[in-house]
Amino acid sequence: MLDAFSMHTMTPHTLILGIGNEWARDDGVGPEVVRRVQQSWLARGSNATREVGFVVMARPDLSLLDLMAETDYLVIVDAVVSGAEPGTLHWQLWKMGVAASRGVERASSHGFGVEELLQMARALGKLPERVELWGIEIACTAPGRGLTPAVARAADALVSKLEAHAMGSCGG
Amino acid sequence: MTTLRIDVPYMARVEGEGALNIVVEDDEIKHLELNIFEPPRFFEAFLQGRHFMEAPDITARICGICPVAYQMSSSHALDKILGIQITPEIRALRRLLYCAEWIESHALHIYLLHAPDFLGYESAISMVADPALRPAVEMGLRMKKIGNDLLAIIGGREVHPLSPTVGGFYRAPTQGELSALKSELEWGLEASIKTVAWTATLDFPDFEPDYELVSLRHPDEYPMNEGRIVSNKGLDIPMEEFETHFINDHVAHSNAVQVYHRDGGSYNTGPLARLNLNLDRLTPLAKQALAETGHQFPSNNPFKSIVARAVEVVLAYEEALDIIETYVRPEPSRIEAKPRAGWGCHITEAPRGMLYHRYELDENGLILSCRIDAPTAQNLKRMEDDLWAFVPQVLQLPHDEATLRCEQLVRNYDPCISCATHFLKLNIITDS
Repeated sequence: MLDAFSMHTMTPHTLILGIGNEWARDDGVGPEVVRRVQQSWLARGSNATREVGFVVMARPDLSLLDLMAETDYLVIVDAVVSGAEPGTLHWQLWKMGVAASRGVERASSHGFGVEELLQMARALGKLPERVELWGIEIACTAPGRGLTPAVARAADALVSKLEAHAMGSCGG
Repeated sequence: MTTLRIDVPYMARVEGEGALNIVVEDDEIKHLELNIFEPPRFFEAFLQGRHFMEAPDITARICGICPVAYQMSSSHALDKILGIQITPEIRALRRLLYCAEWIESHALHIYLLHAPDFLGYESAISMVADPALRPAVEMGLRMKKIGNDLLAIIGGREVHPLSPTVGGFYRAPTQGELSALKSELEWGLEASIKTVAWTATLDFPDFEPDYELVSLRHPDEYPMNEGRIVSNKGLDIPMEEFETHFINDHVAHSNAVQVYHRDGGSYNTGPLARLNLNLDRLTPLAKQALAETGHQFPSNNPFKSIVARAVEVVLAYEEALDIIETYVRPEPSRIEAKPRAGWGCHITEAPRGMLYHRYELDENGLILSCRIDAPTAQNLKRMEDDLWAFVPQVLQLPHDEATLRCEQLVRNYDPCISCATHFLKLNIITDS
């Protein structure tokens, strides 16, 4: 599940994680944002002031636990459906329960949800000191590639924020 | 008259939804059904017209935890149609790949999904919070990771491997790539032996139905990719006769297919069946680990499937090390063949049991029809039969404990339809 080629270092101090299915339109906004931030970081890497790792995943995976143990600062970018206007940016620091999915508890042989994975990391003493959640309100999860206009504009804005973060001037 | 109604409106799981409905009147079950209302996925339908080379990759997407099983069953079935004879080196690599999948799938289920049932925790997360149990979960996570790492080395990535295909592998790993994992595999073997001992200490309800246990059986080895279909009731047939003995059918209350005997009887496939029917095919350390548990096998107690899974993890680690020790990189890595019309089927042993694939190709290699019977589809009717027999034992228990036991009973099968930690939400309503 780890997108191995996108990993920059095996021991990142900061990990920027994009979650979503890039073949389900707006659900892929997390990976889209993280890939663009990574490209920018690569282009200007010589000026980077901190080690940054980039990972994109269709869904959270237990393999993240080991990466989290080596991370001080975790930034998660994911699609959100809360009823807000499509393109709305959500931000908050993680604490128990804030990323809980509605209805089904996502802990099974097929995967853990974001909340369950973070709780597991916390229970195992692997939770980074700071976990920042960025959500983008989405409009469409139909099969196929490409973001809807409002979500694409929000992605542009978030890329700028996270570029600044990746370059060492903390975002958020 | 006393009516007891158990409505389980939603069974949380990853790739589907289900419910359990039970009505008991005067201590007699009047109605019981495992209702899978997950929308149908139509894999068999949209494979029609596809080229045969796409089948292993498309069918692998049916499952995110056992994609290797789908790749192996489809590849072997298509090998047969095309007349492909794989080399011993490719055969060994396919078996190694399956070892990796058994390790990662079983380790996850044992420690994160099944053990909390036995130990009275609502989830693996709350189990980890107990300092006495945290090392066990950490050990299970590392065991699983080793399986995933081995999958990635062979298949290119740890979920939905890219390399396995009809006739072999697009790329076979080097000896060096595999040997790099040797020390971790040796650690895993030791950990798996401890796991068998640990599972043997769990508390098992007294419940032993008169199962028909069905699995593959191979003349020389524990079954993974090859063998005849056998059962503890005397069945002994080639794979090609699967459809003459087993039918798949839609029942009115479920979107999931149920597979059962032509005479209507259910059967049990999976680790418990495999172990019971292949005790004499265990590897030495697996056999020793099982013997040291003190538990008698064959056993029809489905709750002891956790022990069977643990024994199979020992076997998988042991075999993986042996295969890597004698590994010769396949050259070529796959046997190519020209398309031709034909019909072929194959069964391999997925972590959860027998996985049947059957294909019919036209002269251009396009798929005319196919049938896929997943292990969970084969076990669904058996799960219902288990519940019929087991529910009377739990009706007098406190609500939470009855809920746990029903969940645990279904999770014994590690079903793909119901993998979630909170499998059942049980509502018991009593009208007098």
